[in-house]
Amino acid sequence: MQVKTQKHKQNKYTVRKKILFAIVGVFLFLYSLTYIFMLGWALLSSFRDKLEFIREPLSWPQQWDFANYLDAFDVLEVGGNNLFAMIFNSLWYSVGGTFISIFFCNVTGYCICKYKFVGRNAFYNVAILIMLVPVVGAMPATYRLLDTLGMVNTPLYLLTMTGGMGFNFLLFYGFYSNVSWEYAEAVFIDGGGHFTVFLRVMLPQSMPMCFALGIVSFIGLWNDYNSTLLYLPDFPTLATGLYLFQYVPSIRADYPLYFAAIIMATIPVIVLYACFQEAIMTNSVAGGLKG
Amino acid sequence: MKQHVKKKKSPLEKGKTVFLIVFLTIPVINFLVFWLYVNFESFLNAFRIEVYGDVVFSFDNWVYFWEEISGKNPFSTTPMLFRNTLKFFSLNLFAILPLSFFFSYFLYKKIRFYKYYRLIFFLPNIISAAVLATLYKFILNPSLGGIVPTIVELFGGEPINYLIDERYAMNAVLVYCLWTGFSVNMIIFNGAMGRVPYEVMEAAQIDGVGFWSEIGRIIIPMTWPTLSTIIVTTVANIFVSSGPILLLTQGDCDTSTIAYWIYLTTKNQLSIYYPSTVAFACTVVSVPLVLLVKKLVGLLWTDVSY
Repeated sequence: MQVKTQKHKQNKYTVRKKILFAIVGVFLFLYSLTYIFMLGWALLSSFRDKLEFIREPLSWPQQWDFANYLDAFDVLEVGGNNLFAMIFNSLWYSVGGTFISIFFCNVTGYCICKYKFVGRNAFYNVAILIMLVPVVGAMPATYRLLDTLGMVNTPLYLLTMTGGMGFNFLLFYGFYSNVSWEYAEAVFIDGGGHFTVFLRVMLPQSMPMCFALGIVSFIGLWNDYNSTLLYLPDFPTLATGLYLFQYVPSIRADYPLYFAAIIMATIPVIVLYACFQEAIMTNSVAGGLKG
Repeated sequence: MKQHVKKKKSPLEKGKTVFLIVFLTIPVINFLVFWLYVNFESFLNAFRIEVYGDVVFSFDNWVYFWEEISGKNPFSTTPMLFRNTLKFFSLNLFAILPLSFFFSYFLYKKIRFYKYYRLIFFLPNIISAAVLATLYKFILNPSLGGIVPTIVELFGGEPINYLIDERYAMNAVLVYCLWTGFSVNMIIFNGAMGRVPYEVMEAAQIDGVGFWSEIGRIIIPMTWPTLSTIIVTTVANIFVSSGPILLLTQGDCDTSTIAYWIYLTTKNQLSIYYPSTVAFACTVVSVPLVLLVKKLVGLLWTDVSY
């Protein structure tokens, strides 16, 4: 009798679990459709004529017009910068910023992990403190300082990314914790120095990690509109441009053209994501934390 | 007679010093200039005002701040800024975070199409917020045939643009945050759950553990380091995150927040002293709050080694 009751309870539980999974499954499916719909609608609208779009914004394109993608390079312009200029700005900002930030995080992670020196613990604790302490309102003082130093509106702004702290520092610190110091000892025995150890032994070993973190960093900088709007107003990137285009009167009248620009700005990151999905997801997870 | 022998540094030791100096100088200078000096300057600015072009030490901005938040000034917008900031914070901590954890559990349990969901839900993290916000504005715009006002009209409602209507603008922004806010946390939690040993889950199933018991007694404790970190960082960002105000409403229709107001002040190069006062007050409130939350989350569950 007890066995029957237990089995009945188990079956009831399984049914309830199935119902819950079904409800959540439907919700997640509908939620995912909202993203598909938005991006799909933007893609379809980018192939339409502007008058057709105004008449029937939600309908299927009657004529597939690829001209918007070409016209975008001529028409879309902000402050004298056309799409080519914005793509160029996006590239040097994203690539330069990624290289600088990843390199310095790698270097500081290695030095703090592998070497004992005065101030080592302080550096590590400060890196944690900076991530946890919520300092509000440093922006005005930062802007004034950068303006005084002549770093606003110039590529010199990338020098602000040489801090070598933050989450990537912790990831590299964790990485080098698992790399044996015996490699370095072998180099010392062979007559090499500390620079040789880092540049020819440790750095190459960290390349997969640098690559994975670099992709995440690149995507973040490619999509960054806040910092570029404030600190690089004369060097609009694609992300900044997409925001500013909305306020240009001629562009506001031609939404399909605007959608074409949106799709073109999104394609590089979608391609990167498609190619390196696992690396991006793995390194976007709160790294180094078990469980 | 004792002879003092000066210990000479080996070439390797000297090389180590040179190596550390070469590679750590720039990060240390960066920290000193762009964090320490900047925050110290922000602290000093909180006690400064500009009088006929001269910068003087004063508590006037603190008096003005008190008048703004205490309701003495009926036209003050500061209470609105704090209210909106708290709305974003509450949404993040009490809605987005728990729901992300809950939904990521289903991804972990490999609900049907879970691989497809992982792909789609990560998209807001990949695609520029400027793109997503623009598309959101379009679907809410009745003059562009936005689908939301179209559906509302089908059900007999009035098709309005919620983002430019003072009655609904803030809620429309919060809905956007909810719509795009799950993505990163879901993936983070899913990754953390994936590291829970399979043997533990198997043993729990053999023992007949129920659905909610599995979440409450196994998943949450074993993913607590990640979950607690996200909670602490969410609390730390209470006054820092401004939501997508710049992209959606530019602060119109009473949607501005503290962080957005500070951003606007900087962008328009207005006086920095009063925003510094408000920001310092927010820091004074949020630092002990973060430390308290950190202490609390450390008491709830101990770290599990596996």
